[in-house]
Amino acid sequence: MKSLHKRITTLQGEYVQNFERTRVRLFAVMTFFALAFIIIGFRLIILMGPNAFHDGTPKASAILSSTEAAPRRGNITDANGITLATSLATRSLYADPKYVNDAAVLAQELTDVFSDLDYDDLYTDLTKDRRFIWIKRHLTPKQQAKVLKIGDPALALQTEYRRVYPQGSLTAHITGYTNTDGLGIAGIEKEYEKALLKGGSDLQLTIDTRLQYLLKTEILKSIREYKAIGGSGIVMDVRDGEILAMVSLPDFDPHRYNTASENAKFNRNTVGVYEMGSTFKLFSTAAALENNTADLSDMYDVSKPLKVSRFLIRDFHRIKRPISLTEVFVHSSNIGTALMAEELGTKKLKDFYRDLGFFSRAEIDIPERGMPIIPGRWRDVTTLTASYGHGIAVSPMHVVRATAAMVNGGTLPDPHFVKIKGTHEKPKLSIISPQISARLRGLMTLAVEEGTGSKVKQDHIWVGGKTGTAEKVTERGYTEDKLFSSFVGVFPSNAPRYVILVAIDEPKGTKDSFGYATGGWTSAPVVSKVIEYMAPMMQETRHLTKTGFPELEALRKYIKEDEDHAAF
Amino acid sequence: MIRISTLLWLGLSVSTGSLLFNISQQTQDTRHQLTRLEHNIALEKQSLDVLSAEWSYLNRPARLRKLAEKHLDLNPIKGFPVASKENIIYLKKPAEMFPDPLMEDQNTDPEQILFTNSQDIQTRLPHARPKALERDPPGSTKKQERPQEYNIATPVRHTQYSSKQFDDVLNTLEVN
Repeated sequence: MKSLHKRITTLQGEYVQNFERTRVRLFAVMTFFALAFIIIGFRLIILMGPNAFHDGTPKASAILSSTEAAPRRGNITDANGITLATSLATRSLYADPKYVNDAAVLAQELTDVFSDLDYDDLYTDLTKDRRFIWIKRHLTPKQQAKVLKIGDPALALQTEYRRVYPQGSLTAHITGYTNTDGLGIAGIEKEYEKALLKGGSDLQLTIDTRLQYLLKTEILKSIREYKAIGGSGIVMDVRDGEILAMVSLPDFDPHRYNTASENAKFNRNTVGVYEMGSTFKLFSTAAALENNTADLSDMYDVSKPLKVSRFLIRDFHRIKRPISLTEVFVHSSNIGTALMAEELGTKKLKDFYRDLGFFSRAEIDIPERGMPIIPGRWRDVTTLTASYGHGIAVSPMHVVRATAAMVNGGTLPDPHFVKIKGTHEKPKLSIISPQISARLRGLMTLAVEEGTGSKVKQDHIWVGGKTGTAEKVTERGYTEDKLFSSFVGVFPSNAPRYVILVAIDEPKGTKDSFGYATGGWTSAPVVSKVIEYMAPMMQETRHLTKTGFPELEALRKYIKEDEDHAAF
Repeated sequence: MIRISTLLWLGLSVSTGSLLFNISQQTQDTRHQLTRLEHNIALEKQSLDVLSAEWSYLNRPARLRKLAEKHLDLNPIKGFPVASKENIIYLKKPAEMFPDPLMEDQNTDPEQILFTNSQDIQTRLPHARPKALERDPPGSTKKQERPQEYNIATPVRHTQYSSKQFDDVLNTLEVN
């Protein structure tokens, strides 16, 4: 080695050149390898660094050998935080037919666990040339344990969310429901699909579960007593349009919406449109007062039925003397209201109804909204009948909203179910002047104190209201034995906070009601009971007493008390 | 010289390598721990969902009503005043009688309502007295005598009481 070195150093000429070339080549190769190692080294550091073994999502651990499904839907709660709809994690069973060894045995084992599955269907599914088949969605914990005991490699569980409505049918028409894949197909669930699904955030409603229950039980009582086919009710805040309760009966279990009848799923408050009858007198009277074509002291002759072309307008109770417009309202005279509407004229009444939203779908934040039925050709006689709620059909939600505008000082609120957070002031649509609104409050209260709504009268709180009894249209035309009886009430009527509408569909008169099935007999007691229980419950109406009510007293001079009118 | 530098580099690379290996192992462990914790949190959240759903289910108004009717002698409250204004006794300084150490400003409201005329309540609210109070205590055979009449001689208002006078007022509330 040493001698070689000596020899090389003594080399001359061509040898030296060769040696130099070799050195350069050697250096190039060494640099290349060094760089390669450095790159590999850095790569190793990166691989072993803090983000190693992390592919973005944490792997499901061995305990929960199931895969995560769609994101969780947000909860729906009522105004007090009571859960109305929530999503609970459940396991769903699926199979990969590729890994099935013996389809016959597996199908038998599965049908032993799930008695509702059919062996033949399962066998055909398991022998299919596919990689994924659902066997059973949303297992119970017991079923899950049994499936794990089968332990077939072809079976696997997936975590899914199941929508649960703890209050059951109580709020079914409001919350709506979701299908098996967790997509909203009715009610709030559908209307707020994006917020619930994508945002996953909770939704707070304006509904008060206690009031909802109260309203439902009272309507149910009336339906049973008068053997009606259905009923509905709404409680709304007159100032901001918050719906506190909405009941439509018959109702259904939102967990079993697919077995519920169409009749039960039908929302009578927002989809159903009805000729509302005399409750419309509130709006036509307001139109006449606002347009200054009539005054509450004006006298009308209602002794004879009114004949207009081939129509005959009659009164439920005949009054054989001229009466004031105040009395027309208090005793609910069709003839008087029609005469008042004649003076008002078609255009003004139509414009007023249009302003109240009667010509378009109800303003409410659920997708189920019915279109009102308006006569195709509006004749002059239509004006007369529409003034007392015939010949025009709207939903109860329309009436509630319009009534709120009549008593709250004249502005039309926007009914809604979902609590609006913060205060974003919307320009309010003014319909009538505050003075007219105050007179209407007095008028409605007088109808309760002295007239057709006497069953709603409360000892300790002012209540105003208007009954409505409409004959329903059948193949044979209007029939007296098929009625739609309603009552719309406001309380406290000297400073209104809440409007309540209750409607009973096709009630039959009883012995106790002397055969009557009018709004004053069937719906008014429901409203009365709701107010009786609700007033002490709500913060704003808790301490109220019947104090002075100048608007009411001012109207008393327009009514005579010489006649004995039946109270409905 | 060559050997020393080789050894140095070798030592350095081995120590760096082992350090790196250690860190990566720690990272793995922490990662696993995190996954476990996340899984546990998910499970806890799921049980919370189940519990809140159950709570809502148990609080159905229909069920509460049934339970209240079975176990409580309470009626729905009525929305009217239980006592008239004349039958309310005002106490000037309730703080003197019932000193409350937690209350900072005790003299803000001098007219605190303390008692109402019980007779008034009894006549206007016959159901105001829970039935449970009428029942005999367990074991006693003698039927408890129920006070029949309550009486306050003259309702006194806006008067400053000493604690001695207050005792007198209490005495007038006793059954005659």
